[in-house]
Amino acid sequence: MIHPLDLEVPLEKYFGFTTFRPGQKEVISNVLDEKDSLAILPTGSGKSLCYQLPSLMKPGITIVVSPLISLMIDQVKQMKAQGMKRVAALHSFLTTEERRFIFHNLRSLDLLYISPEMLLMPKMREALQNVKVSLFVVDEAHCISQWGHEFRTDYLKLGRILEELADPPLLAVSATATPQVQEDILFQLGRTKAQKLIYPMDKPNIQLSMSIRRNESEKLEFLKEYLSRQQAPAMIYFSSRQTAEKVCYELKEHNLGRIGFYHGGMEPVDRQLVQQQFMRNELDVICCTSAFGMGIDKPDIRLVIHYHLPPRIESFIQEIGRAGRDGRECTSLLLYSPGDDRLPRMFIESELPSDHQVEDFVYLASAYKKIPAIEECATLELSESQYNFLKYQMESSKEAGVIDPQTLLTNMKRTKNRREEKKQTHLQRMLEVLHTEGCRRNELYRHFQSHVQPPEYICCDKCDPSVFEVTYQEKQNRTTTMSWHERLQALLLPGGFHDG
Amino acid sequence: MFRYILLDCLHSMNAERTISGVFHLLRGKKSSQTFQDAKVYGIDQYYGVYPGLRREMITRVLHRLEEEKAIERVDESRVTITGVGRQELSDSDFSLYFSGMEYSEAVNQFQDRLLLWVQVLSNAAHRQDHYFPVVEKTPVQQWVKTFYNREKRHLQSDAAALFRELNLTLQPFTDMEKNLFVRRFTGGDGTGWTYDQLAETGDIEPIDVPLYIKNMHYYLFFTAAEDRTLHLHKLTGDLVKKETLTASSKKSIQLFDQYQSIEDVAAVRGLKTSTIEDHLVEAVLVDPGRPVDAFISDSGFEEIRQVVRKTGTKRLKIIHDQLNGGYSYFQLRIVLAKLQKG
Repeated sequence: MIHPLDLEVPLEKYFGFTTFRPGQKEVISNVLDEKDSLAILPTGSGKSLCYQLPSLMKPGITIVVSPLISLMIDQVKQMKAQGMKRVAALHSFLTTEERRFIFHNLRSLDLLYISPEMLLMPKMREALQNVKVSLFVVDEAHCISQWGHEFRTDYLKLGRILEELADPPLLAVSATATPQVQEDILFQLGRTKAQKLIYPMDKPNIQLSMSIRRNESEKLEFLKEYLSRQQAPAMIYFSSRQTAEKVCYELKEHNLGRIGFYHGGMEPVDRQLVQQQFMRNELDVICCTSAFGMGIDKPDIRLVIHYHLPPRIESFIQEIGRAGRDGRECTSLLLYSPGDDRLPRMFIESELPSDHQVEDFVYLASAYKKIPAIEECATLELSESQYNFLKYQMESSKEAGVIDPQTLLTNMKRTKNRREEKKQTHLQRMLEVLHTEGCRRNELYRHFQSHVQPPEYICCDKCDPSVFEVTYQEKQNRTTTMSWHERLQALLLPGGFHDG
Repeated sequence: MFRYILLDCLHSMNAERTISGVFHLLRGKKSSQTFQDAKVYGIDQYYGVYPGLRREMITRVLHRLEEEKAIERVDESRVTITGVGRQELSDSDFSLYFSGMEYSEAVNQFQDRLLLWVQVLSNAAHRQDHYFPVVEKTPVQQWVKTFYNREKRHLQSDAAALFRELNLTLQPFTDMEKNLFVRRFTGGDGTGWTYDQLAETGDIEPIDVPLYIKNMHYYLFFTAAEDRTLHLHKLTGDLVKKETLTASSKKSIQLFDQYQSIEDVAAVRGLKTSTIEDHLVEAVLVDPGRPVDAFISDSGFEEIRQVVRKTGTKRLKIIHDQLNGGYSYFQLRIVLAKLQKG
């Protein structure tokens, strides 16, 4: 057993930090002692370190199941940039050769990120039987619970995989899980005795503010006025790519600072450039969609602004968690105008099939005498998440012995309606925070924890409206515009001109 | 520049192909239709020069050209170029180095390698070892990694050589172009600019930014490929002209040369005769010197050529009708392929 006091040595050796963030050390000690654990650590607290560090210290391979491909790619990149090379990510975006390469080199890896669909492939399951899995990590563990906000049916099969792998030690991690979801995670994974390490999600250094404007253009005016007082790293979240770009241009036209936009539809190199400019403080404000920010660990973000309403309270908490990771004062501002809840509502509805689609699917299944493949129900125009829902519901009904189509239909519709209500509840909770007459802090966190830590600065605009007057003025690197020749020299010959 | 290229394509296609045809050509769609259009209308140099082109971008420019009366609508999907447009074409003076049909893949690779290699050299020069590669494509990263291992002992002289060579090879271009080119690079001193940010200097249209940069990379690629003494030459290493024929086409052609019968080749290969015909047309497109007397008599060839010249069209339907159906579509395609743009 490694003495907890000795953990700082490998921490500095591999990651270059001298101290742990709250919670990390306890989780890591637990993991090294091979105790099953559920860790609920807020965004920005360095969740990934809790398994990355042990993976380097333990013999054998650490498997990390993660549903977010971009996140795993980012993390592998970060680890490699820090000199840890025995890591890989296995997901559906890889070419066949790339997959095969990882497949044949499992033994030489310390850590493997893998998407649930890849893990469930028979070949992969077989290959894993032949390596020593020293730790099994379920990242974003709330996805396993249908009470969570991002339920994924593939996650439900993880319990079975754990058994197949001869029950390796488990670490389940999540940033947002209500007590109900926490119970469900451990139940589904068959590890109800695991130790729970729960850390509060509220950030004492963040100030909360929300403003309801009469319409879209007043919202924009408010934003412009607000930003004219700021000169500090800031993120503005939008729910659509077009609006992110449009508002970005609008803000730039008014000379409100060094502003750029970022979304999933951009050319890949351009996306990298914007991200790196922001990290290097060459840009102050990023107008982005939720595609931005995953895996970004910028400590000095002072402002996180929501131009649109997030569909659920968990996403909101996660996104404002990107502010003030350095522990200094930071602010969240949410702007709302009537009708802003329409988009998230539509989004929720499109995630689940309609009654009509459920009926057609059950009909098709009985006609084909099997669960139809997604191509076979093209006429139903199902989205991937709709199809996955139908497929999973039908599979589990069949396993439960329900064969009669009529009963099947009734059951599936009932489940669907319950799920939809649940999702609307998530949005409802977001709206409750927005419309509350009381303290926003209490309202925001009450579903997750029994009390909040005392705020270090202003609590929220309900407690003290002067929060809207907040101003951040930070020093800025001056960006000079060089001629092409000067830039080329600065780029390649920083020490002056020495011709070889 | 985009306007010019678009007008040039529209002019060459003479309303015989749809706007989508131009769109696919510029984006470099891998289809035999796109491939044949490019060859037959003599605009194959533009193949794949604008992979990031989106529908709405081309629509916007078309709209503008229509307002300025440089083009006219023929129907929903096709336009024709007017006198105003032709004037603009002949007044324009661009030095274009594109050779997309044969080199778009090589140049794209070269561009990515250069971007990443400059980042590596610059970070080494600034003594920074923690950074994220701006190019995420695995093959490119892999290539640069291998290259780095070969070069790691003389990074400093590599950086100096690259500085010297870029200074020299970029000479034919304007300062505006050189600024675009150099600002795109990321290194130890700062992050490169996105296409949108480059456009903000206001010197050129946003839609032109990637094209100007691409054009310079074509020039740079050819210069580097020819001169073995350059450091840049090493980045062009294994990048060669694209094999214009697919493996499948090659096989059909080889078998045809052996058996001299389309039906036999189809039977041997278990493919449809029409597929074999496609392959044989491709063979002539790639090599117009290839004899076609196995498919058409000399007099037939001459007759079809006269009709093509008279009608000034390359639309098969029209030519077919003019000849009262006397020749098969395959024969017409073979002759058109042989004539190429002539």
